[in-house]
Amino acid sequence: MQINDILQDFLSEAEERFSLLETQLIVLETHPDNADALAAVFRGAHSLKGTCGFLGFSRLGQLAHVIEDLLSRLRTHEQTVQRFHVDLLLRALDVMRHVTAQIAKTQREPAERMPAEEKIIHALRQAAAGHIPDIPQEHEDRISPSSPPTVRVGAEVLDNLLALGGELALAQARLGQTAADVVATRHMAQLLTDMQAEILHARMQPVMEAWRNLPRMVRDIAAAAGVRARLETQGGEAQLDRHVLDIVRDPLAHLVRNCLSHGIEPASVRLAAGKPEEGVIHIAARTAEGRMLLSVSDDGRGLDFTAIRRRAEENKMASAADLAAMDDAALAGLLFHPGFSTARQIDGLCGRGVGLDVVRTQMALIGGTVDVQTRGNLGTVFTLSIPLTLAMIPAVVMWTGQVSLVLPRASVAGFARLPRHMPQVNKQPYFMWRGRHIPLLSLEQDDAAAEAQMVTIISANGRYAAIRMVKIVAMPQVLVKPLPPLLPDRARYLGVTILPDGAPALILDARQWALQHGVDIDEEVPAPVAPHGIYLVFYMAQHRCALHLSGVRQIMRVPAKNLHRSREGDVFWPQGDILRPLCAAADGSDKAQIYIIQTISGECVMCSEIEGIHAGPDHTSGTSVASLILAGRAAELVSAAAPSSPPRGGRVLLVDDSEFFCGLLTPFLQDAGYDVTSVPDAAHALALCEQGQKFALIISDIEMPGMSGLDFAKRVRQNGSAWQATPLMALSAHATRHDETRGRAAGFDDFITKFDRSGLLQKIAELCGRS
Amino acid sequence: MNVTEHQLFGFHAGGQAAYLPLMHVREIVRGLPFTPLARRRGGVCGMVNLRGHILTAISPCQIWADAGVPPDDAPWGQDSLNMIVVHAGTLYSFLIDRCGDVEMVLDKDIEPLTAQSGIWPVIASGICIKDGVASPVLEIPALLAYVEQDLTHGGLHHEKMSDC
Repeated sequence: MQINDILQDFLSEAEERFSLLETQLIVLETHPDNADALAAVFRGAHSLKGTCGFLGFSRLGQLAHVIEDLLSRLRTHEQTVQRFHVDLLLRALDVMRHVTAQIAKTQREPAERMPAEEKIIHALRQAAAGHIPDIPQEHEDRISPSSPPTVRVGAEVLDNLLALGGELALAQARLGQTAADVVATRHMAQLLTDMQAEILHARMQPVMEAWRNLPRMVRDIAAAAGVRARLETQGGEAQLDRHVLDIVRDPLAHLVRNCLSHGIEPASVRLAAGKPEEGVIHIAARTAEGRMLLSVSDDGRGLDFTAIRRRAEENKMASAADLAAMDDAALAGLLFHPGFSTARQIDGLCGRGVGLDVVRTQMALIGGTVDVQTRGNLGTVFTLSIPLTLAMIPAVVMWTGQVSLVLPRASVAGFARLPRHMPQVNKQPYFMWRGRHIPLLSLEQDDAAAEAQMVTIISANGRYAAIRMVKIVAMPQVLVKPLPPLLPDRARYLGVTILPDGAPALILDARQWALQHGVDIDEEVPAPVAPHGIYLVFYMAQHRCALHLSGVRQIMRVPAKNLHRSREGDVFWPQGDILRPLCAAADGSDKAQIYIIQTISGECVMCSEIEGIHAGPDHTSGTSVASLILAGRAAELVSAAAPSSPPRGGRVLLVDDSEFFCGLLTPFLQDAGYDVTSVPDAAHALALCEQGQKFALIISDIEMPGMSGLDFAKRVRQNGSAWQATPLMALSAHATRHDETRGRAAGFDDFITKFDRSGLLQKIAELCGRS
Repeated sequence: MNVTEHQLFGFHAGGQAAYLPLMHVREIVRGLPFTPLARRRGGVCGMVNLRGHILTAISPCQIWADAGVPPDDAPWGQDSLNMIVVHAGTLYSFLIDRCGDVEMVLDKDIEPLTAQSGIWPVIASGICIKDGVASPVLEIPALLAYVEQDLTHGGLHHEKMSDC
């Protein structure tokens, strides 16, 4: 190890010990009898002294020595822990930090001792002698706690990396001997994946690293601001990339400072409001939708919207009328403008309007966002939403017609075929999916992607949007990397990854992307266009009618002369060689052009005029039984419901342990007319066999927990099995010729890869036909 | 009087010859995996994969267009020549047609640009004339700032350019 490496290690360890000592000292301040905390502080000081002595840092060593002396007196109960002890020891740590900062700069300990060192050593000695010393004031250029310059990696991670390296060398040797060895190739691929994951793991740090210095900050600032507050944390073990962690550190500190300066009230005010004397600042971390959500909340007074309005008007950010019209969310957004502060005076804590601007700017650097919610007298919550970069995530790679685009699998709710016609509200096409209307959003390249026949449904918090695409390429685990600089529309993307062919691909941030299209799929309130309560209003002869929008498949305008009328007065519409019966008013239409509304159940309704789309009360049940008031006038409700037709394709059993894949394939097969039953493993499937259930076709995955697909096929084909003659198809992520041979030997009739959707339908039709 | 010698790297993109300081050129690679962007703006046309590092791909041709050089319709992508440029520790890939020579030139060989030279005064430090051919000497920090400004303000600088 080089001298420089040793020094770096020392600086990292010293900073970690300073932070640990600070945390334990703050515990001691609240619980002076906590022997464990005192022991931890003593051990920390003792270790620091030892390391400093070993490296020849005599000044630091002496400081650690006098700290240890005082702690020794406290530990042996010669003195009891008092607040001044904690103040003094914390100040001593500040001085030590200052010295280590100088060492970091010059790689050696300065020969001259600073006046602050002399003062703190003197005060520590006085305290150890049983006196109450004058505590030296904070050093003018106090060194802020910094992140250690190195990443500490667990020994276990390094062991794993070493083992994987060895295995890779062996696998490479095997490949050299037998170039066509498929097993060796797969083994190598698996090892590489594992190794990649381990290396990633080495970069990840617990998110609590970002707030490890905040307890001290809360203590000091609360005392300076004349409030009582404590910091609580939750979810600190969640892992975040080291680079992101460094960026998040400052915004977190600003938000906590904000809680102390604007949120938490003085003790007397809190007591008068019926709150506990001590305020609580709570930091929580959790992951959701491929993002890390870090919230900083307080139980203080909440945002003062009157003050925000007043200050915004003073700063000429908006007119009084505009400000009066702004809702709470818009007003809260003003807080993030540079230079905006509701504080009347500038002090060391607040007033310059820098903090929240820094938060927003820093978040933007990593593609993150910040959101604020508040309730008067109950508190405020700031939420940082951070993309999880440099992580392996399950993803869906889709081909949009021009480029491959990657979506985190967590954002994908399903896939569907694109209908030829879609209803529109305010020029926004809506796509019908599982009984609800969801907005169909466009990528720029859609214009060129005329062949886009499918949509990917993206979701967050139960809200949905759809994206056009041509096909699903793969559903791999991808390595998320940070976006390179200068890319346009950065906020739309979580990051970038490298596809198996080596090409980079952007990873779409579904939530942000939908938001840019004016659709907040992360919003918990129902969308303005709810699945119920939006009606198409039209005229059948003179009758004003309404059809629930969820029942509309398409609207066509056709020449009236093309219609055929039977002697009985029934009206038919020629569609190709078929005459489709039309639901029409008896007097028909005297217009040259008429509209035909095709419902999702296949019925066609003739109408003379389309009035438009109106919101109305929810009323979807029944058949043409009710009248509704829509846009102030009555309209007769026409139902699109028709008796559901029985599945045309027969009953199919799907055996696959991937809930996600079953969720994708089941509606796809149902759309194609099959009645699909899905089970998570072979055992469940065999239980259905024992119950005497019959299927036209069984589709099974190969790699499954418990009984494999091959063993399952053998059980199905064994003598006496009720499913012995049922066609059996294997479905696999990657089927080789060798796999096929083994599968057919086990009893499978056919093989297909998971992503060959058109081939899948064709083979299913063939096998069901055989059944 | 001090005489400064400059090491310039010559290249051609979209039929336009140009130089840039050699210290910015890291390497020249052909056939890097390339992904185009759906929306190409400010000369940023896609991303390339340089041995696991994803770099922003910049098409100088698109920037030349602002200088009045007719845009080159030649497709760029997988087969383009990638001139890997480093600035402030970050790598970028410039998609070029072909490399030129490395030239050692003196201050006096670089002529100043006039305000009438369109975009060039913004992204180049001068004009170098070699063998009767005048080529702009690009300033990488200024060129990247120009690209960034175009991304941020969507062509605001174009108006400024026309003013001068």
